[in-house]
Amino acid sequence: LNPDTVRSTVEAVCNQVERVVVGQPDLIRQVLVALLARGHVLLEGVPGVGKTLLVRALSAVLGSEFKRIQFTPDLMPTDVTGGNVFDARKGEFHFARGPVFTQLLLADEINRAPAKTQSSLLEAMQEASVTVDGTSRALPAPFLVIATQNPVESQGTYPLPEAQLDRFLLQLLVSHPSRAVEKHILRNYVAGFDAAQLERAELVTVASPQVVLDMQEYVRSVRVDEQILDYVTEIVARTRSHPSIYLGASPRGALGLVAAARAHAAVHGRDFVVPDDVQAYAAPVLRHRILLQPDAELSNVRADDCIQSILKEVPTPKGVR
Amino acid sequence: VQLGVVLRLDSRGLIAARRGRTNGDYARELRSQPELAAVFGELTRATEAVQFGGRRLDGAGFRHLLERAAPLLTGLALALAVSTSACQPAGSRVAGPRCGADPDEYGLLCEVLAPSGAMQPRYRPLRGARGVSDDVAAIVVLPNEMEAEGWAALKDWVEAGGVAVLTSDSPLDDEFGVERAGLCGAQARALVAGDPDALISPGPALVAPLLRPGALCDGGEKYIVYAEHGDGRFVFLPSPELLSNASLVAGQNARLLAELLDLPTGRVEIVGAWTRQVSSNPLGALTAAGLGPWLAQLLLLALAFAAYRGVPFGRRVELPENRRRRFSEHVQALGQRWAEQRAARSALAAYGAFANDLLRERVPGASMGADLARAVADKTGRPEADVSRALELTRRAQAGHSAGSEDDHLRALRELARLVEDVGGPR
Repeated sequence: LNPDTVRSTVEAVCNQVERVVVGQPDLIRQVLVALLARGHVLLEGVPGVGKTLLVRALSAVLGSEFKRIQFTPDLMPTDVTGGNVFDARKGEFHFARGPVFTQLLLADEINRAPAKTQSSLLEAMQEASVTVDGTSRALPAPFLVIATQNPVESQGTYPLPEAQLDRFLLQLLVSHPSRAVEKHILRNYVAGFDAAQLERAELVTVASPQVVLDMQEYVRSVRVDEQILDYVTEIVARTRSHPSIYLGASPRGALGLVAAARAHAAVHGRDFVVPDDVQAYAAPVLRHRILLQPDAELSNVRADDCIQSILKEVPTPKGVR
Repeated sequence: VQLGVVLRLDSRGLIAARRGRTNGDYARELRSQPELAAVFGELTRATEAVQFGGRRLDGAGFRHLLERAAPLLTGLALALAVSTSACQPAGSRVAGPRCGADPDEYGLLCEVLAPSGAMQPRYRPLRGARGVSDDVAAIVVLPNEMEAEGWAALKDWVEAGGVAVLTSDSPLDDEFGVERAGLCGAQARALVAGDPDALISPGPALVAPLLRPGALCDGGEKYIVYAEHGDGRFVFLPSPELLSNASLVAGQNARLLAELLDLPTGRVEIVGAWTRQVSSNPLGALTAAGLGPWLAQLLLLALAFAAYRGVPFGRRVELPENRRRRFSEHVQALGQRWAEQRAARSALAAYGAFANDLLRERVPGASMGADLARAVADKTGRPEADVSRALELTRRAQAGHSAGSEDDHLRALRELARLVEDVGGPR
């Protein structure tokens, strides 16, 4: 692989997905960046903005397996991971695989399930394997989880603790589409497009799981200069001393920022990271890893505001060493 | 070059250069000017590949890039292109404040005057153990503050066979009958074979009736003259301008200067502004640098300030302790926030639930409505009408009714707080 082939492959994937997911080009690229960086995505947005359609279209274009779990308060960990089931005819237990054994997984409204069920999925995300009754089973590769949560309704939910949020590489905010985009969606609908019958859209499979794995391997070879490491370190360090931030980003946040910046560089056809890559992903990587001071929250200060002020203050590397 | 372009675009108001911004930000700002954006994008890609990608850029690539960036850099690009291509391959250029690539510096002299040697800036006097080395073939004397001893040493060195180029007023001018006067036009005519003209900007000429000219101004005044001295030679120029990078990249000036000066091969030294006799003690150095009056004024200012502020001046001040916020301050912040939102009804509903429970607990025998109001009024001595109104507003607020104004709800809140205190307060 070389930078140009990675970029052209990603462009081809985006073009196909954009045929059915209208008006969300940035979101599609961000999800692909997470996939290439071997991370997972937490989508926060109101229902009905095309989150499920995005994942289904991605799986079709990437030739990958796709499953969806609707998280509910009575969902059990074994409903996610699977479990040992007794076969009466053979008189023995056999392992029934849960929906987590897939390549692209949509965990819808993850905050509606209790912590025990959430953690069963989050452990699978972290380890890329599932352990049931002492036996570990590897998950298929590539493995991407896109979890969603609704920012409006809070009753009957179990908010993800900070330690669990830290396991998501990116938190992406999905808003309502603009009028023009919404009209485009309606026009597609009137013309006969049905999201439930995606196969009729005749999406072309332009990549395979093996190609994705190769691109993931390539991303790990993208060069990160010492100046970029200093830049990332400074940004993350400043989240720990910012007056409006109670708890700054963890070292895992810094690692995530470098990984996302590498993938972003590869998506743009570069084999080295530049400060723009870091800035582009500072907010998606860090926003869910920081806790605001109570008085800042009361004053409607958002995590993104703090991150933007930090990016404005930290000098971008410019001088040649 | 990249930094120069960014600063130039900033000064033209096309972008706003800030320390937290990236090249990508600037490229987005230039979108409205596609041609500039294309050049800037190409320059940025090449720069970042070197800076962050560990790539190397060869001379041809760099010159191509400078040509593309020329519209953004104007004259600076040309000077940079020539000086970089001339000085890099030799690998012997000595970095110094006067040897840089800026138009008014002298980086190009290394190639023009000493093709096989190096240029060495000199900041020490020309005497004693730090005299002129044997490998020095020529000394270019720029404006400086060298003492008489230095000039005498220079004269001795020239007499022994050296070549010195004098570019500004010096004690040797009188000795050799040279005066910097008159005005030279925009061109000097050199008295050598081939292309004779040097491009110069209007400035002083030389008056030296006894000395042989090397170049004349277009009006006939002398521009370069030679003075033989012992086995060596002095070369007089009216100003150092001809030797600068900006001058040497213009027309055929570089070639013409090399022919006119005709210096022997070897090391070329520059005597610059800092070349003078060193002081033997710090006080002498301060005096020589002209800092004495400044220091005296500073001392007087400090004394005046001390007299004005008296004893407290300079006294240690305890810094305020950086303490954690109290819980009550958080509550106060929350209250202010609710007040800003004019949310007295919501506050009454929340606080009313707590107050109702407390009143029922502390005033036994009555659980709700008029009975509770009467019992509370009896126990606290508050007017029953006030108590009833506060409890009724609370009930309505809890039920979500919008009865009562913001002030009514605030009054009810205060009344409830008073009643809670009267029955013993929260414990």
